[in-house]
Amino acid sequence: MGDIFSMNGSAIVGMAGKDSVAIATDLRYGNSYQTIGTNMRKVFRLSDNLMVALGGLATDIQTLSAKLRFRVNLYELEEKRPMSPKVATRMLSQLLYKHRFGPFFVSPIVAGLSKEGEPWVASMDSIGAVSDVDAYYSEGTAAETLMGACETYWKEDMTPEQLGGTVERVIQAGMGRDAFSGWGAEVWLLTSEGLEVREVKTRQD
Amino acid sequence: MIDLSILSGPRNVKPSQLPGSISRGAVFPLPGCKPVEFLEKQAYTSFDGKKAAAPLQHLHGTTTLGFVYQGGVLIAVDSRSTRGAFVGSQEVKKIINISPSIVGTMAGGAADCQFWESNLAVQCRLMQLREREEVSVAAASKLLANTLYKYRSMGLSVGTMIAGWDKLGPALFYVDNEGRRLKGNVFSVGSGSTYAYGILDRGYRYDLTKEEAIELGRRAIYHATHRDAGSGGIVNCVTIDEAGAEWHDPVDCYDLHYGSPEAPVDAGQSVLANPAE
Repeated sequence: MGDIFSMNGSAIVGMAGKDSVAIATDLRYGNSYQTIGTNMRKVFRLSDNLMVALGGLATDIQTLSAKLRFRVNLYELEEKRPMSPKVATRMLSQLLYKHRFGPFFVSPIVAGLSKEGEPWVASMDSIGAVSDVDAYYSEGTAAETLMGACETYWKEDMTPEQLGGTVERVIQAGMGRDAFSGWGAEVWLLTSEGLEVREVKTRQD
Repeated sequence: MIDLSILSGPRNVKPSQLPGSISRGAVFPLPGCKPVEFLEKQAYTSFDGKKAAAPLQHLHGTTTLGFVYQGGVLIAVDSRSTRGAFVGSQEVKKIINISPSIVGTMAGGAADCQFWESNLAVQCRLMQLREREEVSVAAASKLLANTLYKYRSMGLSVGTMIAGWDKLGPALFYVDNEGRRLKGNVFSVGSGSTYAYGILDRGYRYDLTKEEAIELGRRAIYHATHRDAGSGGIVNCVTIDEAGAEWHDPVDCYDLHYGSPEAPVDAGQSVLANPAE
């Protein structure tokens, strides 16, 4: 409400399956109770096997995603190899801590596949405290309800197909109890085959 | 135990025999302090020493509307109850029966609206028995306004419309916790009211048919639920005319948005979109 993190509203969830990771985000852009847009993307593909979702303040989501894209591109040009999700997580953490005393008001989730095809999901707070999670994590104004949905729907070693369906159910259930997120959602499913983006049909109220 | 012997012969009863606490609106023994100050003391004190409001109120986001048309009066409301960002319920009944031909709407504090409108129903029933006549909408709304005026600036949160049909025809009143009472043809109350007014002002005419009125009421609520995060769920609608109150089928906002009634959203129903950049 008055909180800067929940001014625009967001729901993001990252989940790992067998040889695959998925991120689901809502599409709302609002100002407190007023819904202004219903097509704000909050997940960004920074490399072939790397995606970052940012919840929190919309202006910082946009600024930070541009900064991240710049840094990942520069790294890959200099190193002539893709950035691993682990390195991306550490890099984002350092970038956020650099602004320790004037932070970006974002809650990131990093998800990707390593060179060996190992799934990776990590989350951090707005000043870069990393918690690498082995299964799932949620951020944004719907974080609590999303986490509850994750706990009931998640199963070990889900196939990519199952994983996609599960995060979709999670985002539907989690957003339903949060007034500040929703109005459409998308699921990004990353496997060794590549990235699949799915639009989710949701309530529009 | 309430003495109910008055019900058999209302005309023979002296006012002093009436159970005063019911007939004149409930009266609470006040605590030995000022209620507003008391509630402020109950407020959360967060770690930075700032005070936040006590989390007493539920149902702050809402859209309700009512208008008078040629054949009667229509009320339409949403059904969401929120507490901050949390959606407490998507199926709240926000239209309360006051008498067979009068209803009231809920906006503001859920408990305040529920209690005082139930209390109003009691007052109206007793008045009807006493006067041997259906209570008019003007009288009902004034009873509520008078009750709320007694509790003015004590922290109540009520924004209601009293609508119905009486011997003078259709009538609609807006009543709130400040003691305001306004007669009018079109009202909308709640956090989504500005959006609803936008649709109402575009589509309202006095000579609307009943079907057109229902369509306009539902449309205005639906558009409000789309823009206002505090409103949503299903649209409840009631029309009141000479024949009494008629409740119309509740419609889910999901169906209003996507056109036709459909099965609940399922994981299998997703649509493949453009691949990401």
